[in-house]
Amino acid sequence: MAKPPTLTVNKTMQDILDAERKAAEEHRARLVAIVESSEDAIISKTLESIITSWNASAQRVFGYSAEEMIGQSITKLIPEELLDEEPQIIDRLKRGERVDHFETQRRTKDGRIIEVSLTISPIKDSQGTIIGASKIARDITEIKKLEQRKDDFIKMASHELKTPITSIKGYVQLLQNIYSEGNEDGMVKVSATTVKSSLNTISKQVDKLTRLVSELLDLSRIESGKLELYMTEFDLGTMIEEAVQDARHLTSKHALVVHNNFEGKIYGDRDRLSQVLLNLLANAIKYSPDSLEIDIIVTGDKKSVSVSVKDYGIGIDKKEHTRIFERFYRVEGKSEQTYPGFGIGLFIANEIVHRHDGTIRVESEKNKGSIFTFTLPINLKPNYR
Amino acid sequence: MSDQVTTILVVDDDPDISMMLRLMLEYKGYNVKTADRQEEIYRVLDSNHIDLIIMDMLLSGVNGTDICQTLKQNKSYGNIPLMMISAHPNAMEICQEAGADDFISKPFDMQDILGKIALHTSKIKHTKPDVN
Repeated sequence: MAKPPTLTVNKTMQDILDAERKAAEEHRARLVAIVESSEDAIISKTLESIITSWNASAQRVFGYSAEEMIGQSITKLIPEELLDEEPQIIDRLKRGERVDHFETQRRTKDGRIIEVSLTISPIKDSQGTIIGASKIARDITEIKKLEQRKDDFIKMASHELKTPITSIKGYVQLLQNIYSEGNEDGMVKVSATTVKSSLNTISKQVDKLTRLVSELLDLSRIESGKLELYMTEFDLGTMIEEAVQDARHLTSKHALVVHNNFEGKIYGDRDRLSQVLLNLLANAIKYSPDSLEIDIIVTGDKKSVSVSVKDYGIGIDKKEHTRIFERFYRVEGKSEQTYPGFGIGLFIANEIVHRHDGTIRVESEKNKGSIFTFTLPINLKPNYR
Repeated sequence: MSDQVTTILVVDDDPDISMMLRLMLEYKGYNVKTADRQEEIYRVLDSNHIDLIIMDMLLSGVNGTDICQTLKQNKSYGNIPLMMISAHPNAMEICQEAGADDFISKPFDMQDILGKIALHTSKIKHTKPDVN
């Protein structure tokens, strides 16, 4: 059918309008998709604090659905003691100011208090009048927890490092005093055995300090993915005996008894695996101050070998069993917190064992002692870098 | 009745530090008793005349500050000067709140700790000339 030219022009105009509308709709759909797929909660509200939009992450973070929240006041999310924040935020928005990364707390549907970082910007209409606000809320509860644990870790680390320094400094000053010029009677008062044992302690504490510093370095190596393994074939029994011998220096109370039912070599980083065992032994000694024995049990077959360290100490509550392998994690509890420790030993041990394609696990009950076991494959192909 | 010799009770769960303090104090002429567990503290206090207690804040399983509070409320032992030691960053405030008579942070200087000990033990002798 022939079409009059004017109609063609009109139709073309219509086409243009349709295309524009379509483009606008597509643009809008894209924006909606971005908002909906955002990891952050994105909410809009009026200047009266009434919620006008609520994305999927807002539901994930706060627990309420869009149907529950649109039309409601944003104050529903604000804990009572923080209600003053809202008028202050609205005042700033009315002045056209943004609120950037404001860290505060909000309450979820199930009553939990979460840590959030808020970025709030004014929304203007086409005339430039501020008609509401968009709010991006990021749940930073986990980040805050990690920050707190890092702070605690630094405090603990300084405490841990100062302890051997206290010993070293004390013994050195004592010896300096004994041997200071014009102090002849000092020589008489202090026996040669005392001097010798002082020097031994200094040496032992210097080793301890070195070990602590190495652990800190290991932590940083693990975090940057640079913990290297030097794989060789070695006799497991000898390594275990040596590590146990080292651990015997850490205690004058406990008998460390090895029950070895495995003979042969394994392929792995000998020093690193020895470090794992020493760490488990040091923990066993530390957390069983009232018991007298620690058992080291080695069992294996052709494919794998397991090394267990069993103590009869304070034990670990079941709910802590997975968390103790986390970085900076220390078992909570007033009594537990009085034991010295970095909170990184098991994290490092876990990392080393996993890098050997092995596993590490704990069986324990509070007040009934703990068994830590790591299991390693024996015949690894030497394909490690 | 231990005549003129001042007796000090050292409470620390770290055997090396406990031994170091013992050697330092014995070298300076003090009589030294040690304890690493809560029960032992009372055993030593019950069977010895103690002029001063030096105690670490964290004792593997118990908080030294809890022991400090209990001791300070004890009729027989509350008057014994108690000096807390710790390497913990906020230890001084915590120990003061618990009622400790003095605090010294780890690592300490031999002269500092001996100076403080002399101060506290001389106070005891002046205020209580006839102990026992």
